[in-house]
Amino acid sequence: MAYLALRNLSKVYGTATVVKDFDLSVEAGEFVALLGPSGCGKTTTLRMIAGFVAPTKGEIWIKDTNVTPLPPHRRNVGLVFQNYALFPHMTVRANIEFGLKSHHVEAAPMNKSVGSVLELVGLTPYAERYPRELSGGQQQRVALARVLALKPDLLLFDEPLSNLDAKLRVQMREEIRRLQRELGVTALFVTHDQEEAMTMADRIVLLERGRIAQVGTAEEIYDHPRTRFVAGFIGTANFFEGSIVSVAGRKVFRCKSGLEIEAHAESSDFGAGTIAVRPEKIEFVSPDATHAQPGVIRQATQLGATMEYAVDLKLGDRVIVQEQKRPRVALRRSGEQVGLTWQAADTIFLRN
Amino acid sequence: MKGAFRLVNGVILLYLLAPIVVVIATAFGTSAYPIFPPQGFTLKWFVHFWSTPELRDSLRISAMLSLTSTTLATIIGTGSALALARHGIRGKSAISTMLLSPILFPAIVLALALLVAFQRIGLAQTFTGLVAAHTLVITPFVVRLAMASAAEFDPSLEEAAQNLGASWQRTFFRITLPLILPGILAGAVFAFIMSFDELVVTLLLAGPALQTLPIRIFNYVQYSSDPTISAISTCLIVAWLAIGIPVYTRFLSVRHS
Repeated sequence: MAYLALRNLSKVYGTATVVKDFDLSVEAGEFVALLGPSGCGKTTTLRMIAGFVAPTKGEIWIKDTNVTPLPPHRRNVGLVFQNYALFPHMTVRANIEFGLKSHHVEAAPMNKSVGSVLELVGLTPYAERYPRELSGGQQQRVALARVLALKPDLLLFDEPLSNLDAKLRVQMREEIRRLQRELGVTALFVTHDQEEAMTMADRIVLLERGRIAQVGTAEEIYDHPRTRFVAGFIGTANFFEGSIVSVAGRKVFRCKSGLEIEAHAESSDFGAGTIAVRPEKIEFVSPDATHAQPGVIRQATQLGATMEYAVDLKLGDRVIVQEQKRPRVALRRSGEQVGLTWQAADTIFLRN
Repeated sequence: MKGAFRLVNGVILLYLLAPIVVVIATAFGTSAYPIFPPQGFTLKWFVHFWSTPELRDSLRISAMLSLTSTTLATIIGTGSALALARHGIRGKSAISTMLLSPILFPAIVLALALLVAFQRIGLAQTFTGLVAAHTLVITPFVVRLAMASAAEFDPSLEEAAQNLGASWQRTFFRITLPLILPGILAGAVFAFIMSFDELVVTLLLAGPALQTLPIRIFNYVQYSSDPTISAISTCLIVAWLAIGIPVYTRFLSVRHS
């Protein structure tokens, strides 16, 4: 049986269903990200696991124990809060000791635990400081050390990096992941930041309005999104609406604009749907090349290492193209006539 | 401009402090009625205060009454403040207004209402009745001041404590209470002073056996004019400073740092 199992978990507030039939199995040592836009139910799910919100329906199992009826302080689950929730009237040391004292750990083993987690997060010289005397990143580390000292069965993170600046955020991502790997602890990480989820997690659970939209590795979700929501939320994509038809024995996707795209689809995929093409899978060729879609560049945007171009096709569709900058190759300009082409294998057919 | 501002400040300060200075000064004067500036120096009015059994007795009654009422008001007020500061309570503003209503009524109206009610249920002229009345009058002050602290309190700290394995008792006594203590203490000190000072309600409800210090002083000044009252006032001023200053500097200044 899975290390953490959420079975049919639902939460209803009045008439609003916040989480609906949430089923998830997490293996020991796995790092799973709960990803979704605000209001998708990811924080509510986390709070149900921590015990602060009672599920309307369903069960939570950790290590073959049904913890659903247990109060928060009886679940050995460590939660790192978005605002860290450090006790302002206690020093770093006292913050870490608080949990150990709650579990009636004796002085000698307690001091040892405190010492080792302080070392683990690199805060040994700051033990006697108060939280207000620490930077955001250091406070974050204290919050982490405080739960790690208890050797929790499960680590929960509630958007813990959203209050840090961009550079520190990237650094803390790596640090959290390193600690989690070293300690082999199972972790659930709530975030609305797809990049955070993709860089940190072994698996991503993408949520849409209280339901699981898709579960998989970053690669699986990016390359094989199952719905338009997933394709649009993880990365960006060009969407063409239309339907797959058979033209002279070949399967062709015909858009409403009249654009025809050679589709990569299973033989059973016929009928109305949407084709998604990632902007980096599209290539520029000369406007009169065979099979190329002619168009004109309307906008060129700097993204740093890549350029993003908005291209209006002759047939009317607007297509976003991303191109890696290369040495000795001039950037394209707005107004330039271009042809676009892409491989059928790089199209994603999403059934309506 | 700056000079004028300073002058106005000085006048206001003088106006606030002068009566206190006069009272303290006259307490040490030898004349049989308070005159300022005092003549000579004596401690006999202090001795008179301490050696008059009715006055000493009334001090004891007042202290017991105020301590009991303040304890009750602090417990009730803190609980109410915490409940009101948290979201999701039905009729929150109605409850809040009701809790504060005793300070909105004129004291004499409240006193009469309590007298009528307490006579029915046999609480008039009893210590219990006085405690009940005082608690009613001073609880709003605790609620108001504790609420200010409780509203600043971040509820996720309680969740963090529980997440770290603390029971609700441990969470309350180690996290919630220490963090809202400044407001509670300020409320308690304020409530104690209000209770010790209370005259109108006490005058109507207290029997002959329960003459508090304010009642004794009130009666005393009607028949005599010697500086014993100044001596009592001086003792009270010193006592308030001794209690008030440490509490305010220790617990209330911390919040500004």
